[in-house]
Parts: sequence; C-alpha cells; structure tokens
Amino acid sequence: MTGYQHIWDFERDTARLISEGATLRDLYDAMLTVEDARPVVPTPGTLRSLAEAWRQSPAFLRIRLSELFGGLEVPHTDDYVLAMVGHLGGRHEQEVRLHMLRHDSELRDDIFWRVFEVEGGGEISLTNIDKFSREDLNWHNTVILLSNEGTIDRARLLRSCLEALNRDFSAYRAGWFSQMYNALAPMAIEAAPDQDLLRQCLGSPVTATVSLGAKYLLAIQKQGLLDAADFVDACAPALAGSKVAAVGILRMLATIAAEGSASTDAIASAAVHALAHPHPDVQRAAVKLLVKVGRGDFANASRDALAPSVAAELLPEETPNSHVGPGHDHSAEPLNTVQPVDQWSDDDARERFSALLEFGTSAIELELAMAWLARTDNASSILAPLVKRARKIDSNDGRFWIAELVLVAADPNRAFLPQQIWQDTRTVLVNGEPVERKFGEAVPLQTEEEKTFSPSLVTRMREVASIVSGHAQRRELLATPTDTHGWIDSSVLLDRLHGSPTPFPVDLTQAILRIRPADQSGLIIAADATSPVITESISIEWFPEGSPAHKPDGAPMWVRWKPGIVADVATEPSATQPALIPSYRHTRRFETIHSGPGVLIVRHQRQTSGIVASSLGLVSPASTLPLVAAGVPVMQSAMSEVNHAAGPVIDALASHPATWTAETAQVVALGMAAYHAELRTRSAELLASAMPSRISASEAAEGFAACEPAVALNRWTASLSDAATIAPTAVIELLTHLLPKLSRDTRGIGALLGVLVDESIRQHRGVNDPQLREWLDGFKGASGAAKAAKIGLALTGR
Amino acid sequence: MSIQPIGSQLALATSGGSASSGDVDNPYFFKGFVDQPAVVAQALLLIARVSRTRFYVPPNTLAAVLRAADPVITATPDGLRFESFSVCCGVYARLDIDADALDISHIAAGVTNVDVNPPLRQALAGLRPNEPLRLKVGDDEFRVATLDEELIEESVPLPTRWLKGFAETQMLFGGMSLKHELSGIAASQFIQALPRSSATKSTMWATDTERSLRLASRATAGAVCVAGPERLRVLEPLSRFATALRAYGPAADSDSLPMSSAWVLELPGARMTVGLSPEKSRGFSGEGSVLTSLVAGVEPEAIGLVSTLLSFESRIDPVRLAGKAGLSGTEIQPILGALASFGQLGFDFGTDSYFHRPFPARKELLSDLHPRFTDAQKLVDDGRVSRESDGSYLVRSVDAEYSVVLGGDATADRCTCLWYTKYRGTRGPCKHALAARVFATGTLEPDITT
Repeated sequence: MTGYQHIWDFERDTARLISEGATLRDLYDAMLTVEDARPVVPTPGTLRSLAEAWRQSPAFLRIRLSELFGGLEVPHTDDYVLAMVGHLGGRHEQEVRLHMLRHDSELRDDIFWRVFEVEGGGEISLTNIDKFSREDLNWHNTVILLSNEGTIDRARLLRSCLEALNRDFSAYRAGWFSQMYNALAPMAIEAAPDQDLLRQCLGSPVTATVSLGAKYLLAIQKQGLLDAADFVDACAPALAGSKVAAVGILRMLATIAAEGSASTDAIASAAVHALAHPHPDVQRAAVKLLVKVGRGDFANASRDALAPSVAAELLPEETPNSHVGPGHDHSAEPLNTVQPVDQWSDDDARERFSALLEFGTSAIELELAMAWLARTDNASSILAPLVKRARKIDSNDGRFWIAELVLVAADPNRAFLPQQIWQDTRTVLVNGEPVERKFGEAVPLQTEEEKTFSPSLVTRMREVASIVSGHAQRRELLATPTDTHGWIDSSVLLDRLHGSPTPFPVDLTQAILRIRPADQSGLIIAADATSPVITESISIEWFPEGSPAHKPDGAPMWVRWKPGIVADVATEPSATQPALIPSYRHTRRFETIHSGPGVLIVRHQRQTSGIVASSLGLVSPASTLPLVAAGVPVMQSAMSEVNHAAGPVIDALASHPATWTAETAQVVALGMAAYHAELRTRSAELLASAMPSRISASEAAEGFAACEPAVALNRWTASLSDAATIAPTAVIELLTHLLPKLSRDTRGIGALLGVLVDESIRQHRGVNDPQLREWLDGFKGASGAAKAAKIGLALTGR
Repeated sequence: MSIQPIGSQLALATSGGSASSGDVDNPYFFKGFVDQPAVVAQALLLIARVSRTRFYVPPNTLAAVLRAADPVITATPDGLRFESFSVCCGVYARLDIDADALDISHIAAGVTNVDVNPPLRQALAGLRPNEPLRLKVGDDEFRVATLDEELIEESVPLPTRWLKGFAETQMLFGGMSLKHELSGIAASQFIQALPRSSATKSTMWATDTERSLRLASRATAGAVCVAGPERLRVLEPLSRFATALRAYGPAADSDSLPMSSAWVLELPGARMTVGLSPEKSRGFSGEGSVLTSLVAGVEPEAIGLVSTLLSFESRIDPVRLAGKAGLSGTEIQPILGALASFGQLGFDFGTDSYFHRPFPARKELLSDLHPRFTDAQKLVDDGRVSRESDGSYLVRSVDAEYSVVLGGDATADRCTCLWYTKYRGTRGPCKHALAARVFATGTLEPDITT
C-alpha cells in the first residue's frame, strides 16, 4: 500500500479508496501509513474544536477508525456527535459518510441517531453543514439514500425527525428535520402512529414545524385515522400562528364537529383562540365554526377584537351601545415644524462635529459645519481630537466626506477628496528583501462628483476646503439656511453678499435656490447673478426586469421593476446646478480595468448616501423634485434589501416645506412597501401627516397607482392599516381614489379592499364614490375580494 | 449559603434546607406541583429559549456554538422565580409563579442556577393538556416530573457576565412605571403583529392611539420604547394564555433617545416579565445607569446596613425597612437601587416592589460589576483629578486631559472625552465624570459582602 506523507493526503484519498472497494479495516491500515501522523488523542478539547469549527474534511474518520481498530475509547458526548456531523466526510463528497454508515454498525445503529438529539450551533449543525455542502452530496441526500435502500429504518427516521422538531431547536436548525420529514413524504398510514408527535408540532414556535404538523394531521384525518379528541385538545397553539396553518386547523375542527367525534365544548374552546388572530380570514373561519357549533356567543363577546368586515358579515347587527365611535385624524403628528437654525460657535463645534461624524445624516448640521469652517480661524485645534476617528472612516462609508472635512481642517496641506489613482502594486523579493513594485500604468478612478447623485454638494465642500487650506478668503457662506426647512431669509442673504468677497459660484447658485420664489428675481438682479437652472417637472417610468430563468410557459421566474426618471435633457447630475435633474435609468455597470498584469473591477453606479439624501431635501425648499428623483431608486431598493439612505429620504421629505406632487407620493408609497417594518411605519406616519395638507388624496392615489407594479400589495395593506390607526379618514380617501386605478386581478387586492371596508365601517362612512362603486361592482365569484366588495357596496348612505 | 467562586463564575447554592422554622434536613428548597402545568411548561420553555438565543450577532463574527447561560431559580415562601438572559444580554426574562398557584409540599428560601437541556425541553414541549407537572428545586439539581418521566438538571455556576446584567435590569426596572395595559385578546393581537425582523438599530415606540397600541417610529409622551421589536415575540407561545399585557418604561417625550422597557404578561397564576435593552446591539450589562446612583451621595455604610437587614423577603416594604435601618423614606429608595445594582435585589412589577434575591457578594464583585467605577476610583486614588474652578475639574488620563463640568446631579455631568461626546450620557457617566464626582463628594466604595 502506498503511504501518505501527510494526514490530509490520506483524507483527500479516502473517497477513492472507498470507490475501489476498501473495507473499514483497509481504511484504518491506510491511515497508519501516514508518515507524519500524530497519535489520535481525541481529548475533550479536540472534540470541542471539531464540534465548533468546520474543517471541511473527514477529520472524524481517524477518530472512528481508531475506536474500531486501534482500541481507542472515546466517550460519545454531544461534542462527539457534532464532530461526526461536521467531519464524517468533506463538502463535495458523500462516499465516506455512506461507507461508514453502511458498514459501521455501531455508528449506524446508535451514534447516528444522536444527531436528532444534539442541536449544534454556529458552524456545526446538520442545517449549516448541508447549507454549505454540495446539494446532492450532503447529509440530507445521504440519509434519504440510505433510507431508500433500507440501511436506515424509515419508520424510526420519521419518528426521530418529529422528536427532533419537538426539542425546541432554533428555527434554522429545526429546518433540516422538517425538510427531511417532508422529503420522506410519509403516507397517512405511516404518519398516523406518530400523530402524538405531530400534535406536539402544533405548539412549536417555529412556523415550518407547525405547518408540517398541520399538513400531516390533515392527511391523517382524510384517511379517517385522526385521534380527534386529542387533536382538539392540542391544536390551540397553531391557531395563533401562520394564516394558512390556522385556517387549515379550523377546517379540521369543522370536520370533527360535523362528524361529532369530539365534544362541542372542546371544539369551541379551541376555536375561540383563533378570534385573536390578526388575519381576517382566520377570524372569519373561527366565527363560522363557533356559530356552527352553537357558540356564536363566544364570537359576539369578542366582537371588538374582530375585523369590522368579519363582524358585519357573520354576526348579528350590533346594538347601538356597542358601536365603536368614529376616530379622527388628529392623531397624526404634524410634519416637522420650522425652527431657526442654531449656528455653530467655537465652543460647541467639536461636540457637534463629533455628532455629525458619528451619525452623519443631518444635512442642516452639515451646512452649519461648512459655514463654521468657512469663518473660523480655530478649526485645526478644535477638531484635532477627532482626527483619529475620522481616519478610521472608510471611503465607502456615507460619512466619508464629513471625515475628510475634519482631516483637511486639521491639516490644511491635505488634498480634499483627491481623485484616486489605481496602479497594480505588488510585493516582490529583491535580494531577499520584500519591496513594493508598481506595474502597468496609473489609471484614474471615478471622482467623488462622478460617484454621487449630488455632485454640486461636493463642489460646495471643495469651496469650503479651499478656505480651510488657505487658498481662499474666510467668509460667511451664502447658502447656509436660516431655518430648518432650508429657506434663507432674503435680507440675511443680501447682508452676506455685501460682506463677502467674490462669491463661490455654486455657493451663490445654491443660495438663490433657497430664497423664496417671489424674492428670487430681485435677488438675482441685486447679486448680478445668473438664474439657476431648475427642472420644473419630472415623470417616473417603471421598467420590468425579468429573471434569466423562465417557467415552462416562457414567463420569467421573477420580475423586478426598476424606475427611470424622465426630466431634463441632461443625463448626468450637474456639479454646478443643484436643481438640475437629469433623465436617467438607475443601472449598475461594471468596468474592468486592466493595467499591466493587474485587473480591477469597478462598479459604476451613482450612490445616494444618507447625507446626500438629506442634502437633496435642502437643495430647493420650493420643490421636492431633487429629493424625489434620487429618492425613488433608493426606496425601490429598500423594498428588498437594507438601504441606509432610505430613512434619511423619508426624514428629508418630512422636513420639506413644499407641496407634494404625485411623484413625491411615489416615494412614500415605496416606503410603505419597504423590507424593514420601521421604514414602513415611518412612511405610513408621513403619509398620515401629509394628507391633505401637502397633497390631495386623488393626487396621492396617482402616485401610488404609478408604482403599484413594483410593490407587494400585502405590504401596503399592513402599512395602510397602520396609517388608519392615526388618520383613518385620509386612508379611506386615498383608497377610494386608488382602488379603481388597480386591476381587480392584482394579487392581494382583496386584503387592500378589506382595509377600506373595515375603516369605512369603523368610521360609519358609506362607500359612495361612483367610480369606486362601479369598480366594486365588477367583482364576481366567491373570492375574498368579491365578498369584501359586496360588503363595501352595502355600505351606502352613511 | 455557600460561595464558591470558580474563575469568572459564581456557584450558587441554597441554604441547604433552611425553612422559616429553621434548618431542616431536606435537599430541596421547593417541592410541589404547579396548578397550571400547560402555562408553566410553556413559560419554562420561554425562559430556556431566551437563555440560549442571541438576538444580535455582531457583524463579521462567526456565531460560535451557543453555550447557553442557564436559568436562575429563586424560591421564597411566596413562590418561585425563574430568570434568564439572552446570550447577547439584551433580553431578560423572568417567570414568577405565585405560591397560591403551587401545590406545595415543601418550600424554603434559596437560589440556584441550573442547566436546561434538550431532554427537559422536549418533556416540557410534549406535556399533554391536563397532565400534571411536578417540580423539585434544590442545592444540586432541578427535577421536573411528568407522567412519563422525571428529568434531572444539575446546578451549574453562574457567569459573572450574567450577574452584571441581572444587576442592571433590576435597577432599571425600579425606575419604570406602568404606561400601557392591554386585555387578553388585545395583548395576543399586539404580540402577533410584532415584526419578525428589524434593522440593527431599529427602535420603535409603543404608543396609544384611539383604537389600539401601535408601534410608532418616534417617541412621544407616554410611549414605551421597543428596540429590536421582534425580540418581544418571545412572548408569542404564551399569548394564548395571556389575561393582560402591561408595558413599563421610564418617562419619555419627543426628544427621548432609545431606552429600556419591561413587558409583563399576566398568566393564570403567574407572570412573565421580559426586559428589552435600549438597542439590539447593546446588552444590559453595558448600561451605566447604575453608576449614577453609586455617586449620588448614597452613604456606603447605609447600603451595608440595609443589606444585612434583608432576609429573602419577596416583597420589600421600604417604609418598614427604613424604620429598621433608622433611615427616612427618601433615603431608603436610592439605597434599594444601589443594592439592586449589586445583584442583591430584584424588582417585581406585579407587586411594585423589590424582592431579596441575594447573589453571593464578595469584595471583588464591585469591580466585576462596575469596572468603570473602579477605574474612576483609581483615577482619584492616583491623584489624577484636580479642581479647576467651581464645578469644573481636570482629569488626567494616560495620554490626554479631559475637562469635566459637574451638573446639579450626576446625569447632568459633561466631559470632553470622545466617549461622552459619542454617547452623551445615554450609557451612564464616563469614568472621568465619575472620577470627578467621586473626588468632589468623597464617595467611597460600599461594602455589601455577606
């Protein structure tokens, strides 16, 4: 037998040895030929190490073979089991695992079954190992294969999966066992003996486990094998879970009630738990069941907790005293009220710059920081303690520009936001000494202006940096707002102009944009300035982007909608005209740069950081459009992933004094469909506050309808329900105008319609709008949407 | 009570069988059945689940195998308490079972710390409706018996890291007041409507509206902070038993920064209290609010005296205690807060009072629990603090000097260090402000060793 130099040579060769027919003994003998092998001493520390860190190798094999043939005695602790889980084979093969489980009887008949008891965690668990192993060669596949060939007892495997699911493992690690059980797909007659464990699954905090329990209990019921009384006693926890599981359980209870196979009281006691479910469909099924078993009184007693549409549909007309009175929209917080700005002084500049450096999203504080830097002589000494922190901020961080302002203030000789150059640089050995050498040509990378949606802000920061570095005279900046809405008092600006040397051009342009429109022309004349270029209107178009993969019918697997802005003739943001909005489609383009032997891949995509979003809100207090044009792509991405600029976009809009347009409403509409609940909440609150003071319901509905293809309606349903708790009238008005603009076939339309119906009932309002009534009248059939439409049409003349 | 420090852990034990009548030869300080086995089984599972859950995983960190921090059990004649912390120390959970919901064979005062392993969790999860549940809690073990089996869990040492979190939460709870209350169904609906995930710094505020309690994005007067709101979903398995949900928090207004909160779910014969830290990424053990009280002019001798007067009382009567200690009513409250900060007391919202739950105290406990205070004391002892003018002090650290201005009380102190600039006092005073206040008031380290 050929020897191995290192143990990993042996480990890598085990799959080949097995494929060539090696027995367990042969493997052990081969292991002994390793030249530099150390004795196998599986101390608790060694096992602990294998139980915590995945080496992606069959490191457990040595331990097991030494136990079988080398007389090694190892306690089969939880760490031992996890060591086996992680290291009985590598990532890209299953021969070792299959071979050992087929031929090592103790491993197969005793130790293997411990994997259903030991949860694991971190890197080592069945779930995690399988997630990062080749899908057709992982533990899941191995166990299925061995079960199918009869090596592993199927019945014991099924029961063990359920036992594992009832050991309160985390959702992530429990998933392996529910997927295994589902893959084994037991028939009802196989699952029936384990229905006690399936009942326990109904009480799991893991949604997938509850769904599994409900699914197989239903199958058992359909075959007439269900222990009905025990099921009724155990099913209550599942009635608080997912809508699908809860409705399924209620249907099973209804069947049991019809069959008379459990007591009515027990069925009613179980069903009543479903009345507290937040989903109207679950409540509806529960009320129907309670009425059916003669316990409608339970439902009536919980009437206030039910969705009004459910109560209206299924319960007797309520008595006058039990009316919930209509609410009022005064619960909505007013939009951010205007305050005068609090100018920085030398005494508080360090503390305020420190806060700006830490949180980096307040555009007003950035403006005041720039104003302070432009007039103070003491920036270097005051900001010196912040230099260490500023240096740690990466160029990809949204606070990078703020950090660079600190650094240039501390060292006026430092270049401010210089263009970066890339050249392939490598360490080579020259006479045995490492030396850095450059290869190829130096390639200039994108400038900061080219990377951002607000290049004019970069220009203004450069203007300030030139003062700090002594290349320009100290002065009072022109564009510093005098209130938190971004306006500049025109008399203040005139004073600044008179006291200032030749103004910086973009500083002046920005200042003019912050003057009230009625005063602008006069000020332009007085300043002998040029009128800023202002984009007066934009439109937003939505383009579908389909997946490369397709369904059998040819349709893409998924479609994502991306926005395009149609505005000015320009196609890039301007570094000198803050209120010029270019026409563009937000695309991600990669460029590969070759220089010598080196390759650099650069992503070309203009970014909107939090501070940029916030600053765009101050570009023009008279118009939300600069913020909207950059904000729509931000909010679109925030529907599916974390986007740190999304919150600042909403905050900037809340502070913006201008009247909204339908395009502005799209920003909020997208926010109400965001991935994160907090952003949805903030957007809902903003809508509640903005209607009707900033935008009418009809115009807002236009905005919502325009971006509807990009949105999951169920998120709007939840957000509008939330908004209705603080501004019910506004939500009713919005939906009255919005719904007729949507297709009746849109997924989720029924639940959205349900919000209108519920709020109309709560507010004692009729559904009287003719267009809406015509739209409602078009629903046919017995779908949830059709039922809601019917209830809505019945609300007349209130 | 035996004190067995083991490295950075503390071994808890009971009195070994003392009862109100004196010493008894009984290895358990509690034996009995629970009146509501289904409720208690789910509640114990919640306690165990919290103890092994990490609600926040720092970025760029591979989640190591979770070594569960194990629940603490306290018994008094008034009932049983089970407490745990999440691995990230940002969620605290406590189950209080009143004595009248227990069918008691024997009960005495004691504290222990036990492991809850998968077999016990499986037994609790598998408890059938109307099946009895028997508990025995003792020096070395915790036994749980169902009709099918008896599970034994051994006592384990309590990590000092947990002790700090226990201390901080109880002191924070003492400063909270009731802000909202929901009935059973409304409580259940509120819990089920909580988001399932949130951003790391997500902070929402439970706010009253005309119709219901909603999670708002901004603080308003009367709101209760819910940072990382999905953490509160730990209550979901118990929501079907809930008779009420009460929300507690400090006073809030529109300028409030994120703060801790406590949520009490009323159950038949029991209460489940869940405490949430001000941010998902912040554990309770990092809170410095207790430090303010340590330098609030509380006499160390008074703390020591009151500590000796406590005797596992499940409901501390401040008036009676003050009388015994020869103190006034206003003097006793900060002392109770300080004792809570040393892990000697817990706070029960159900009774609106502190209870005595004495973790073993040793001299080094102060530096373990409050290293910032110890560092501050060292600055003073090393002569690095000097007075510059009225209320203004200079503190010389290793590589820099910091100016501290003391306010009317410790919460108004300011420092020029970057830590203060970053946190603005939301995590308690920095060590420089502490040192200045210690220097100014002559505060000494209290002695609460037993």
